[in-house]
Amino acid sequence: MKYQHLCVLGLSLLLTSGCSDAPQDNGVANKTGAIAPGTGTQYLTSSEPAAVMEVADARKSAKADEAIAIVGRIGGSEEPFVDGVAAFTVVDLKIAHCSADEGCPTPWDYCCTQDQVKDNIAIVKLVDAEGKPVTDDARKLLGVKELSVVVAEGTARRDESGNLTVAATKIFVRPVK
Amino acid sequence: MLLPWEYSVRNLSRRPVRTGLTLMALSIVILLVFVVVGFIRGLERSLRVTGDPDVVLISSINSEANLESSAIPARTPTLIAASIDGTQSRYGVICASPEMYLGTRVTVSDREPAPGLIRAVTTAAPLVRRSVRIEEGHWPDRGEVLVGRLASAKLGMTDEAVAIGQTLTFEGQTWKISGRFTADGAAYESEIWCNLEDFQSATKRQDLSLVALLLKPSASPGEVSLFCKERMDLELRAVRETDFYAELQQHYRPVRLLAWTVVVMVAGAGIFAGLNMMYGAVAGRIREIATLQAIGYRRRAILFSLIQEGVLLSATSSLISGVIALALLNGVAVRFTMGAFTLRIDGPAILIGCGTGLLLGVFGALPPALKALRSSVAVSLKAV
Amino acid sequence: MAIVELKNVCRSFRKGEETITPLDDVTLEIHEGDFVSLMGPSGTGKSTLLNLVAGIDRPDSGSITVAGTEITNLSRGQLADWRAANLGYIFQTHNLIPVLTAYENVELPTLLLKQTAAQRRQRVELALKAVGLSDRADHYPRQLSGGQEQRVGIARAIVANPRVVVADEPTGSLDAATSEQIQDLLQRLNRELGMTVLMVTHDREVAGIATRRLILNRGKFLPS
Repeated sequence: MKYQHLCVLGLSLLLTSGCSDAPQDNGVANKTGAIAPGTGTQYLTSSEPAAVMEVADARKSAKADEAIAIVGRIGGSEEPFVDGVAAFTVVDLKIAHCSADEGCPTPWDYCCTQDQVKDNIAIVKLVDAEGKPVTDDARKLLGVKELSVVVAEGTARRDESGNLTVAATKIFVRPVK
Repeated sequence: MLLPWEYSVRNLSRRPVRTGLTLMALSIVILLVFVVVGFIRGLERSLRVTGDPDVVLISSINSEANLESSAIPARTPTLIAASIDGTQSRYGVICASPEMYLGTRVTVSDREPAPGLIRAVTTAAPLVRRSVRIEEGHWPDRGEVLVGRLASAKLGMTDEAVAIGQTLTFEGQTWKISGRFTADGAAYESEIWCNLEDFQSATKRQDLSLVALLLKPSASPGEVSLFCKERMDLELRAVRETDFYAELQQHYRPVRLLAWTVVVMVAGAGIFAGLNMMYGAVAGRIREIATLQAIGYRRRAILFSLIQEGVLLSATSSLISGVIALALLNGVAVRFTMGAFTLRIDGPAILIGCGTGLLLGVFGALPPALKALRSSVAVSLKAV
Repeated sequence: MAIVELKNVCRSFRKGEETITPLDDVTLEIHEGDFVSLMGPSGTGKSTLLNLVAGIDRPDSGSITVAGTEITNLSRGQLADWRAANLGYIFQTHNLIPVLTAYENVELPTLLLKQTAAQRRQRVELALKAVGLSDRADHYPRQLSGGQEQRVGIARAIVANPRVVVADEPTGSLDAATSEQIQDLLQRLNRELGMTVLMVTHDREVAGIATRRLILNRGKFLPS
């Protein structure tokens, strides 16, 4: 109920001031507390891959089992991380989320732009050398949190409904500006 | 040194009528505490035992704790069976139970319709809901229903009204009762189970409310959550059944808070009953208390004796109420929004009820005893 | 040797706007084995003095030493312990505990002493025998006559073998014949057991059994 009220508040703020048009940096995440460095060093890379696709582009063009690197912001729902598995959803950087000064307690759920999220979201699932999902918490493993911007390098998986999953072997976390 | 025990015991028989009335008042108060605590314990247990840690519920992402408002595609069980390796198989059947869950008005015979809970299931349901046992009758065929042990309580009717062979009417269709089931006190016991296809046709719906999956002990619910995230188009949400009912317990937090408030208020009334008696008892004993002090008894010994007197009375009341609660209240069915459950007078309930009773004795005796002991001994010796 | 010693004791009470001073700079010595009667008009401070000696009231000034203990500065708890060990109190209305038998009433002070159950029983039986009520041990106060009740009260006062016994009008509520029995009993306590007795009475005849008679008036002792 509280959540619904907050979303209504968020929508009313959108009508009066609107969500910021420009993509946000992950300042909100930054302001909610420092992120501890990730423990899964074997999955983290210190340099950003050269050919990186935006989430929306990847959803349009990536083929099944194709090697791919996508960039996106962790979010898309109130709980973007999957419990018990190192996986999370990422949203295209062009999609705006509520800014910190709008008072939304969960800006990563994109409540103001939820209708745009559907076609601009992908799931990143961290896999080990054998291709099995890693069962650790992605937050601890990669040192990320909601609204962190990450580049996931791995293999694209597609289904008949157009959903995109990246079975990632390497993650680059973009530093906060 | 303390005063002899007999002093406290015999003092209670000084004013037998007053003591008897106080005993009765305290017993009623403690019994009320038992009722409320039994209610809370019953509600908590019903929600706690319903959850199976190996079961994951898949429902609509927007439904949260309200499964009635959940609607998921009918093909979800097939997709899940094909995608999740961790689902258990029993007797060669994959343990994925597609279900529709609905609160609707149920008419029994020619009585007034009452709100009932319907769960439309397939034969996979008992494979997943492992606590369900058919007590009598048989699994429902087309047009038949299986009623839970507490379904009659939920409908506000007698067990006879929902006996095997009786008919129920809901969603415009008449259903014959084919059997009764129990589920170790789980919330399902207040439900009416019917055939899924029958119910879909009666409600003209093709979707499902949820799919309950029984996972292999080695499997992780995270696997199911991952599937739900991957299949964003289906807008699914997976939650471990134990977590779902724990969340539901949080929804009932205001009810529990209210119940505890009632316990405090009722106990407060009990303290007044105790105070009334002990003030009367001590007021008539001012000179006696002063005499004991003049003989050489310390004030704390006299205080202890007076409290002992109050506690003795309240302990007797606790015993009486405890026996009544165990004999008459334990297991009584209570109708509630989420279904029905039974009052539960278990160890903690006995402990809380009797503990409250004993505290009534202490707090009822303390103020009058302190008042009597504050007076000057020399003055009190002259008291009439 | 003085067993009770009051030095310059003052005690006054507020009664509305008025201050009453029942004891005004009183000095008194009572020797071990004395049987002292204290007489005087009503409200003159007899009971106040008795209560001060018994340690159930405190003086405004002055000092009180009883049985070798300066009791004016003891705490309430210490006073209770001191009374249990040194003092017997005989009340005008006997003040027996109605829910306890004669035996149990007499036993009460012994429960405060470090004694075995057998020792306690022996003492209680002796005390009841001393007051001639051995056959009434199991009777409750309501089953006893006024005189018998007072004798149980006396047995209770002496059972712990106190050094000082204070008696507040012990015959005040009794008929003449019973009063005589009690007087006789008090005399025997003093003579045979050597107990120091301080007795408040308004009856000249009763006061006559004492070895020393004091008269208190307007807070001062008068020559007897």
